[in-house]
Amino acid sequence: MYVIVVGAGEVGRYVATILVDEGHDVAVIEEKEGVARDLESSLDCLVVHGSGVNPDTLHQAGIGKADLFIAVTQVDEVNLVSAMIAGRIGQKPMTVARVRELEHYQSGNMQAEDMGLSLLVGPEYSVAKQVVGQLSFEGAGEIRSLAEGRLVLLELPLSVDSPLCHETLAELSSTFPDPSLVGGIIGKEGLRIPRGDDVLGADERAEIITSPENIDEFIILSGKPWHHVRHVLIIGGGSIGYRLARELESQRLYPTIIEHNRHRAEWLSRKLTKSIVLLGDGTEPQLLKEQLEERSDAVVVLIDDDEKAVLIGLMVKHLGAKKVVVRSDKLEYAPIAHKMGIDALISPRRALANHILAFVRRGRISTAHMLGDHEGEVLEFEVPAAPKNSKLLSTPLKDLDFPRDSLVGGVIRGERVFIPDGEALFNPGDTLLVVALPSAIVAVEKLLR
Amino acid sequence: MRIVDLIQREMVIPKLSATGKPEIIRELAGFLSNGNGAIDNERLVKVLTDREALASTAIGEGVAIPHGKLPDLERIQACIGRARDGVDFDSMDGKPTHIFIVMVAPENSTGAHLKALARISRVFKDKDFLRRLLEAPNADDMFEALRDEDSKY
Repeated sequence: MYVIVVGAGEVGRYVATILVDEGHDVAVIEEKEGVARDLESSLDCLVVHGSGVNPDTLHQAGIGKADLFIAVTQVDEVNLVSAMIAGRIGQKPMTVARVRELEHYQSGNMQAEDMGLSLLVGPEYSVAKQVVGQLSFEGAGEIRSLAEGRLVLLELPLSVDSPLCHETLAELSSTFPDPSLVGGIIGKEGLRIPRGDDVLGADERAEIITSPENIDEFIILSGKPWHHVRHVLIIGGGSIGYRLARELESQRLYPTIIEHNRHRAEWLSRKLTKSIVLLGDGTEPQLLKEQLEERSDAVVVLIDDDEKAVLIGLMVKHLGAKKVVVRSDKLEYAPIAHKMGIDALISPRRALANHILAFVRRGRISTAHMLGDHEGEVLEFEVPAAPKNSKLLSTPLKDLDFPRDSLVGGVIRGERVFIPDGEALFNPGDTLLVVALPSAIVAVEKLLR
Repeated sequence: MRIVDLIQREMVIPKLSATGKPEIIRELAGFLSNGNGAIDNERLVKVLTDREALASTAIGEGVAIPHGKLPDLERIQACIGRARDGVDFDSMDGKPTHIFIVMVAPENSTGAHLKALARISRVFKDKDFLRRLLEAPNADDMFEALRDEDSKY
């Protein structure tokens, strides 16, 4: 696929890197010369220095052969106009524009199609939703919904007591509730795809695919105490913080928000009638201490400074917070953050890339869930009625030559959800959940075509 | 692993009399340590209380699973107690707790007690089974209910 990315900021660079890694041809348009040069030397792609709203620049970047056009600069208007122009002068590329205030368009009933675009993406809303999901999860670690809620992906830290640290996965299969499977292990070396003789370490995290009814059992098996969140402290009342508070209010959880900007705090307290808004510096240890002593059991850190956010997360954990969720795009910090007790790092950048990648893989792969800092993905894939790969429907899974760094972690067939064994045969219309390291993704896509 | 392998017939308490959280822990611990000379009662109370301080072991549906580890214990010991009127055990749904399964494992236990707890959390979700346990007229019938439920899995 030929892809043009406009804007080499955090998001643009991240998406471009993933696409290049997966073997796509990528051109990046960047207005700032220094940033453009920098990217040119670090990523194997065409870099065009110029403006994304200038048709000449788009031509230079190869708009005539582009299959996909992604505008993710800092400025909503630039993204919209740029994607509109691309749609006009290109050969019908799919067009994606990032807009920060996604709800403004949606509440005005303005869909992407109305602007001649394929997709509008805005991470803020999905991040707020993700945080709510984490807060309602009672275990330590992270939860994500797969296949429209039919399955969940749990990323669980383990205590030394957990049977997962003492028995091989093969031995544990009779202990695990049905359907469930350890689809990945996150350790010091990053993500690995487990084998039957794997035993997990207490410093590792297990990626478990299971059905929602089994969540409690896995929380217990992890050996970490479970905890029901009753009161949430939000540090930072920006756009994610505001959306999160509104979402929590609708679930009758009334959060406390600490916001340092007076105008913003006043605005928040007018808008959020049931939350408590405090004017103050949420990075101030004394203030945090008072708040945590009073009643907060979960803390969500939503400050823009990626490093400071993690640090504040560690501090509130130290001060006794039971559950800590931190917004940070520096997913490289995840291993250390997890080790120190932060339950989840939520990355807007990753959320946005997830959304865009799902779109890139449009067709048979409906959704992609990124693991870690793009160390792997869980792909949701629908088995076609007439696959190009003629073996797909007639060959047992064990003979399908799935790449080493991948595994089929679940099959959804109508009402049934099951973990396939080596003898399993796929039917047209089955939804498959495939865990794959980046190196295996292209091969998996080919296999399942 | 069967529930009746964990909980013997004489470890069924059909009527708990305490009405508060600390008192009920004490009552349950007393019962378990009375039946087993290797268990130091005060120590058991402390272990269970410390665990509750971390976060309530109520798991919803009116069930709680207080648990902990003790040295000098040879194998997992467990009892089940019933409080028909319910006790406030800081459950997540705010509802009173009626059924308590207390489990204590040897200090060096690795995994087995968590497997047992996970199994208990599964079995004690079934509403019909819980109703039968609550309505059973005496300890014998409660034990019978446990045994029947075991045979289903």
